[in-house]
Amino acid sequence: MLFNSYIFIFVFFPIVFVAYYLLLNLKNKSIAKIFFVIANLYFYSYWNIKYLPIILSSIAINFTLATILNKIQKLVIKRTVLTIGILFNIGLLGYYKYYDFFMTNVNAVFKTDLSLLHLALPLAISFFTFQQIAYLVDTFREGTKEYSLLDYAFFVTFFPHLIAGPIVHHREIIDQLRDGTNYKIKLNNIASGLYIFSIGLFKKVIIADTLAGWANTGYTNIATLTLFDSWVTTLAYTFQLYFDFSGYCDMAIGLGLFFNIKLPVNFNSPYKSLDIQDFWRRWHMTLGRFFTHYLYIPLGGSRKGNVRTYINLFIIFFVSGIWHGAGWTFVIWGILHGVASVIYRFWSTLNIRLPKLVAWFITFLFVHIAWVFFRSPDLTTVKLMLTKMFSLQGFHFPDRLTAFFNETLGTHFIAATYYFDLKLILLFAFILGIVVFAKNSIERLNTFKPNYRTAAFISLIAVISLLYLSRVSEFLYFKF
Amino acid sequence: MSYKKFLAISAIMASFFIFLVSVVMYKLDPLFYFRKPDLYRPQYIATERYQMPGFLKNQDYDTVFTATSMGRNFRESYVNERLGVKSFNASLPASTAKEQSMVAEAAFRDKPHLKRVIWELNYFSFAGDPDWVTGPPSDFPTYMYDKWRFNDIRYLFSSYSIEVLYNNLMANKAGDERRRDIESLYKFGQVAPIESIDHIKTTLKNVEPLEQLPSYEKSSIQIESFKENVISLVKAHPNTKFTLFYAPYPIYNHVTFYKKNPKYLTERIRFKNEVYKLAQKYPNVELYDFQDMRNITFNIGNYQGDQTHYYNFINNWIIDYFAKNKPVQSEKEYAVKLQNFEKQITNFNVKQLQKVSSIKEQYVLDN
Repeated sequence: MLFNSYIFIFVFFPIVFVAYYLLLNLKNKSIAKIFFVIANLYFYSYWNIKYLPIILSSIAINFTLATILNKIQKLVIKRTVLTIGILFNIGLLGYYKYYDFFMTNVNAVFKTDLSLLHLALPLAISFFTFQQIAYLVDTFREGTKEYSLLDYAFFVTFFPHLIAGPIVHHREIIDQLRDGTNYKIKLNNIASGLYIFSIGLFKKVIIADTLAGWANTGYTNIATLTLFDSWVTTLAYTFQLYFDFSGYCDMAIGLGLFFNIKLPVNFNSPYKSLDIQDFWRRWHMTLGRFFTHYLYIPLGGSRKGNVRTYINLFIIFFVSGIWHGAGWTFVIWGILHGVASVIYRFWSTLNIRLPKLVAWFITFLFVHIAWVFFRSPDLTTVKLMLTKMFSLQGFHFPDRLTAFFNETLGTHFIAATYYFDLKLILLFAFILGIVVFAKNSIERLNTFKPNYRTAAFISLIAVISLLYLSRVSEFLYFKF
Repeated sequence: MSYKKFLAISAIMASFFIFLVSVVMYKLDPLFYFRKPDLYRPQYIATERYQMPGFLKNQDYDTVFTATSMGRNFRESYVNERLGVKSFNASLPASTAKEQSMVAEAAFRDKPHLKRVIWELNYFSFAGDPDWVTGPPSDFPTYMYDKWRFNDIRYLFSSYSIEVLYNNLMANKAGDERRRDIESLYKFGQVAPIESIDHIKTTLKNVEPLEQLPSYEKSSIQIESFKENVISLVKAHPNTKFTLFYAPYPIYNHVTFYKKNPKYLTERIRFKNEVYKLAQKYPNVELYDFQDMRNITFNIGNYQGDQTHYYNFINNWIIDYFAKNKPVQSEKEYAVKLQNFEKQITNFNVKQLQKVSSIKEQYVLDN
């Protein structure tokens, strides 16, 4: 079920909201929680009921392992149990997400004909696997004896973050869930939730899905694009991804607030970044936090000298690339970000400061070009698109300019037959202005005040978004 | 302002905006769903599945066609002349049985004294759950075909309706005269590629065998859908004549499926048999089967180059056949027809195909 669908907005969400708070009036709060977990599982199974046993068994096995970890004292056995748990989670992810990719490459290299599984990727597997690895590691480190299976299942399946994050830490959810003051409706949270959910819905349905039209058309007709068109296509995707993912994060945070659960901020104007490290502190922040706590620091972080720091940095981005998808385009995307982060780390030791505009431009251009790898279905498409973007062979002047040059200078330029309208430059300049200079939705949420103007604003953007719900499309981050 | 007041004001404002848009769209009615066009000149730009409910409501007819693309080229003026009826062709390309049934139901709702339903029986349409309707991107707007009025809000409050309205008004402003005539609106094939023996040979040569027949191709699945979508309507409307027919697909289309997996043929013949047995129980049903009619199906001159569709003169030929010939009369007669059909497929040879233009000339229609 998509957040941007009629069935979610008008049926699922109102039913869960009303029923949950009604059940919380009962003395036994577990009934409300059980209802909520069932609702989460229904939400998850709505796409494909086949996925349900996978998430259920994953929850059951991880909780059992954590219970064992909580009980035993001997370090060696604890380490063994933790290793089994991590291997189980990585094995599950590997089997469903990477087996075919691995086998395809084995077949290509060794000229073998090993059969592929052709399995459909279970929804959200990358997210719930990581969250549960974190839970096992924390249980090993500090213990989580106080959690019940119900609390744990609630944390893993809580529908606002289940499908595409944020990647939440167990304490972030369970502590709020156990706080008795959260068992009643809080109108300030509902108002804030409605406010940021409406903004997120508008970002997704109106902005991202409109940009998707140009990006998809461009990538489908790549051979006919001029240099200008290739930049329109790739910029459309760069902005689409921004509004799609930030829209999703806003909606997730808004939905959490309706149930008095504050989800962590996951997105903080990443295109305002002046360097690549800053970018990763602003884009998919909870993924970065996970990698820092559970990979970078255990690898030694920056404590073991410069070379080891560079290697560790590179490893987290390499893994991040693979996490995003089983394909060479994602691997290379991860490598690019890894190399860029290492270069930046080295650069920052030189204490040379670039002018802000130059620093911003280099960062944005790099991120933009790397998105070409992220979006392209294969490396051939990447090569074709980059060639289109940087080859002057594909450059032609517009009609009037061509006529002017040919008449006044006697040149023989051929006028461009653009795939896209030149006016899109103005639109993209406007969008760029918004993503770079405007306050983001979290900043707006922090200063949110209920008044007539805000009520009119959210009513209007919500109604416009609802009007466009008929062109339903999935969130890009659902496939990771 | 308190949070409570803020939420109440937001809800009131949002409801007001939704109401405002809906009232304006109700009045302007871009798909001409509530009434015949009167405010501005209509240009029918919406896709068939969205446009058809308005036509079903507001056109004047006593006979309705419900079919896939195989029925789209029945020209109403010709049908009216030959069958002495007032017809409307509501065929939807690649429509499922449920969609065809909802078309017929919508027609019954608005024309309670509907005399005749002409219904094309297509294996594809029945190959699925009885409630199967087309999903995105060309999704079937169930809410416009059903009897409930409250869900019409999805039509009134939709960006698609606004888009259609805008394009219509722009077309009027620009003097664009396309898509104004309802009868010619969804007819096709005028510029279709021509069929050739070489093309057929290549296609048959490249058929990839299918190891296992998909479960939805089983006759048991298809019969369930037939019962729920066709027989239920036949029962509910005993005073309406139901003319069921199997369209004359080119013989090599059947052969393609047979080469993929011979069980296609077994299941299809089983389906036909069962359909006839069920249909003959009702006096208001008649069945025509054109699929063994060699003079049509072995003549590549009758077909477009997509190995599926015939030219529009074959639609006229079918209408003439309805007018002049009796439907299948007995189980025995039908068994012979089916045997003949089976032999034509199992003994097929490309050399048996011919290209003659006698039917085309007889109907003197350009294609």
